[in-house]
Amino acid sequence: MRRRNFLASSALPLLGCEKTSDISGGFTGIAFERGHWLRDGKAWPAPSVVHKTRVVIAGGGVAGLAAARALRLKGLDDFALLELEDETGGNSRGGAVNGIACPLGAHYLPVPSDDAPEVQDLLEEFGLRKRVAGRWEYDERHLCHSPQERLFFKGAWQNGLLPVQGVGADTLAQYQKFADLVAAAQMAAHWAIPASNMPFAPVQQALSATPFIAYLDQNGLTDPHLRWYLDYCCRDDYGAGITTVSAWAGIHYFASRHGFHAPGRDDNEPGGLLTWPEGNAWLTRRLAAPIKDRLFTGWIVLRIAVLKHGVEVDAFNPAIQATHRWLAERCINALPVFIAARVVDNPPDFLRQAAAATRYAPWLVANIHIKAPLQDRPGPAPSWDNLIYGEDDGENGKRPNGAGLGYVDAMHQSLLPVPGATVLTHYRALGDVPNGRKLLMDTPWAHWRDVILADLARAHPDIASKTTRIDITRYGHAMAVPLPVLNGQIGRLPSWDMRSLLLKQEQSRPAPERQLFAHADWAGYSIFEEAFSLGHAAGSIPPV
Amino acid sequence: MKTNSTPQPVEVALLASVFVIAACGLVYELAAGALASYLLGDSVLQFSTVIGAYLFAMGVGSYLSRFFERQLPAHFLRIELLVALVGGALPAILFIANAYTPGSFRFLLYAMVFAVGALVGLEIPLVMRILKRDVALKDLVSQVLTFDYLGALAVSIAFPLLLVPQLGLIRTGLLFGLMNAAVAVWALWLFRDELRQFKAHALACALSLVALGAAFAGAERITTLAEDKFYQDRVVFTAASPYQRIVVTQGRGGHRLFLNGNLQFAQTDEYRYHEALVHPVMAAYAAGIVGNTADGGAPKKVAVLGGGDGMAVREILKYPGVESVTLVELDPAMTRLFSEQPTLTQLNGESLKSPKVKIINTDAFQWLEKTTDTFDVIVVDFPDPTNFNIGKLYTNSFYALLDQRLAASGYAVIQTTSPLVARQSFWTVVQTIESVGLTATPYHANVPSFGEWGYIIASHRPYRLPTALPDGLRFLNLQTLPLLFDFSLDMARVPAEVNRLSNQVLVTTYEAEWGKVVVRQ
Repeated sequence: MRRRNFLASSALPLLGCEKTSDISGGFTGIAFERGHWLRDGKAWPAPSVVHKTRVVIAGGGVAGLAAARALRLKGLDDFALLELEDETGGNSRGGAVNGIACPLGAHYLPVPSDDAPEVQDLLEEFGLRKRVAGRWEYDERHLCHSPQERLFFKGAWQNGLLPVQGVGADTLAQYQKFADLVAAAQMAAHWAIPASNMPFAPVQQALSATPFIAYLDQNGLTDPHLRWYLDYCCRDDYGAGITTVSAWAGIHYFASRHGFHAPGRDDNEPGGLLTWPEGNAWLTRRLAAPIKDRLFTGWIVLRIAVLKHGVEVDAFNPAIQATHRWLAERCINALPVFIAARVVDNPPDFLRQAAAATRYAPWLVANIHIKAPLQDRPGPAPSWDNLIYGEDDGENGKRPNGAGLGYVDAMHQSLLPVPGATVLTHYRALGDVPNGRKLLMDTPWAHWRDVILADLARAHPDIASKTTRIDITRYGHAMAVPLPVLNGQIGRLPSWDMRSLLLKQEQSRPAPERQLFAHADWAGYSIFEEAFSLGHAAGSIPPV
Repeated sequence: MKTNSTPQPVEVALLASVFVIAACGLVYELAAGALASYLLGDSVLQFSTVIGAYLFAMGVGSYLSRFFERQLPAHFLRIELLVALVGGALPAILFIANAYTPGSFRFLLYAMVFAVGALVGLEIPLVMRILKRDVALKDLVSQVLTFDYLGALAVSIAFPLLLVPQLGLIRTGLLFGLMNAAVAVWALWLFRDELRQFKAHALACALSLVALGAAFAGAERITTLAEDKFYQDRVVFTAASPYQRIVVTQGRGGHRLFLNGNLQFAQTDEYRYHEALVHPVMAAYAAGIVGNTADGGAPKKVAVLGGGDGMAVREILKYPGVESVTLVELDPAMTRLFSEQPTLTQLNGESLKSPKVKIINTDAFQWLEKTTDTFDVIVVDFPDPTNFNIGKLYTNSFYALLDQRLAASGYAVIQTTSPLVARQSFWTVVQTIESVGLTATPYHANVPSFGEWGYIIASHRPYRLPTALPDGLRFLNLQTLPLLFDFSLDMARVPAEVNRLSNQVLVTTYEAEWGKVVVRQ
């Protein structure tokens, strides 16, 4: 940068209000009209075509795609996958803004532990995980590059996401106390991802019935910095904060990974995480590629009827205004439970209960195209995940727009030696916002634009002047929130014993079920590993 | 005394001048704050102390105003001109001072801020006292302060949004200096009957206007002057590409190239750097091959990554057996400059115009990923790992690609910072090269402009010293070459971690090690 230009730009933030009306963009991604077709009870034509296949997979998110892969691995190639949207992938879809690839939803996958062998196998298949000299190694190109995380706190950036610099001794003591509690929980029970692979220990049962906020109160963890951080973690993973989720969820976040590290820790997560410019779409697109001929995108599943000798699945395609019927030996129902409960004929009790008990967090994902690197504040260099500390978003009910979760840089994994234009993906979880779903649907794009730019301008005063386009993707029902529930984990297991199936005890025996359920909702919270493992299990069970 | 009647021209003029004075005062204050933050860092501290000093100085000025008794318009005029000159030239003077006497920058900064503040502090009371002759006190205070604050508002909005982006700091300062001087001229005309030495005042006004006007016209020269000093020599060529600012200077020591202010080569000793970079691998390639004749076994296909100045290519072309040189340089401005600019092509012996040389302007990492060729010799001449983007070119992922593109009998050489200054960094790169299964052979050479400099040869076969060198070298000979491979105790190997994309230990290490030595380059 030329010196004089620098001088010019250095003075800008003194007042820094920019015209935002030049920024283009709009809502993208989700087809609400199709989704609401069912809710609004519209009439559809009678089935005009009947397809016969062995298995129908309803829903093309991560679980549905994993089920399809499992079927192929079993040599069962005669199946059809029905998906509402134009592209499969569910929460793991990707897009592009002005030619720069970016995630539309989930954007990373922690390196899976041995608790998730299905996911490990997948990564091996995709060449991400290799055995080198007897040790498992991950492709460095796709492991998150350094620097990974930073937090804008008290006017400067700091390494890691936990507020550390300039906090008092009391805060540090509370960090240590929470770290000790997590360590104790790790000693008392096995915290696995996916959680649905493991039965709950009594201590986990108890925690899952307790609100996280009550747990923090009980343990005297009242420090605002700690609470802000925990709230951020919960919103980031579960779509809702510490006042909403269960203590099991709050502890699981840390205990299932690498614990909670009080300051002085290494800021790189041991084991690391995998990420791609287009987010987890890198994975879902590879899952979808070999089954293109069996994907039916743009089809609304209307009805799933379990008959004595098979299943009947009706789906409507608004593009051709036609309903088709699939007759199959089995249906793998990979729909979110609230949809599943609507479309399944005579839904079983566990499905109805699950649908009634599941609360969904709405999410907003904004992809912000910036034409040049942003002016930065003191501290560590721009990182992959950049979070901005908010003094006022720690308490429930004070988040009229859903407090932001910072941004990730879509060009972070680029190997270009000079930073340039990029897309910043900004997330907002609205699980705690009163009437969050209505707010998400009713708020015009221009309002979100201003709210988001004002939020990020706290750390980057020049963001408005460098933004050219903002594409916003809205998810009305992004993920199930792990609420405190009395009977704990998956108190709503489907009739077949998923746990034993997942432990591969009965895999070789054909199961009589005509309909299997597989979706992250059944794990009670939404992450790739849960959805994938459940889908994989459902696809691995030989049909009748 | 009159109250609330039609405003007199004098009154209007003085209130307008209050507006301008307030605006100018704030501009000088903001300019000083912005410059100090830019040059010294820590904007909160700089703005806070500059504003504090300025406000305090205004108080001092206000206090001093009581000692001005008679001839108020004349004093007003003189002060106005002083503000115009000192304030208007403030950014320019500070800019130059930083280049020539950086040690006294702080002193000068606060001295000038204080001077401007005191003068502005003097002005307002004087204006009020001049106006008091015609206006009631309550109206006077209200009007003067209104215009004072309005001027401040106007400037505080215009400064960041309009003035600095359009004019830059130096011109903004001078422009407001001119406005101050214009107020003085106005005052001269208004009080023409009261002033005793009208001609002397007029002359002072004229001189001030001319001086500021000339400076405004020559603002570009002032910037260059400051930059010349920064580079110590005369800047003979500059280019700003999307990637970097390229500056070539000429002085007693010949030409020097700077990229973003960092020295890349100096004509006086670049032969040392480039001979040491190229010949240990080029000459040894032939020597190592069994049954090779004079140059029959010389490397045929050579790649140079980085090094858009063509100096390394010049050395490579000293081997007649070379059939092709692929130069991969990110910045087209660099290769264009060193292919076309006569003074520069003289330095690289017109190497980039050779028919054997193929120039590819792309990122080396991506090029390595895509290319299917293999090379006998690869010369890696990247900038030092000063940031995380460049740091990626020093990771095991990069060397794994390099490994694939290097012929079985090939040698690659990587320029690798100073093993003396940045010992840990140097051995980190050695460790990283070894981690992908390549044999690393480190060596070093003394390049006075850089200091003790390091290189690493990466190969699939063990490195063997050359038995012959091309004619006409100025630095290397067969007797001294083996010495380069000995490391003295203070540069000897230290344990190091592998540099990965996911940890980038090198960038942090490099920063820490060079940070101890060089405060600002």
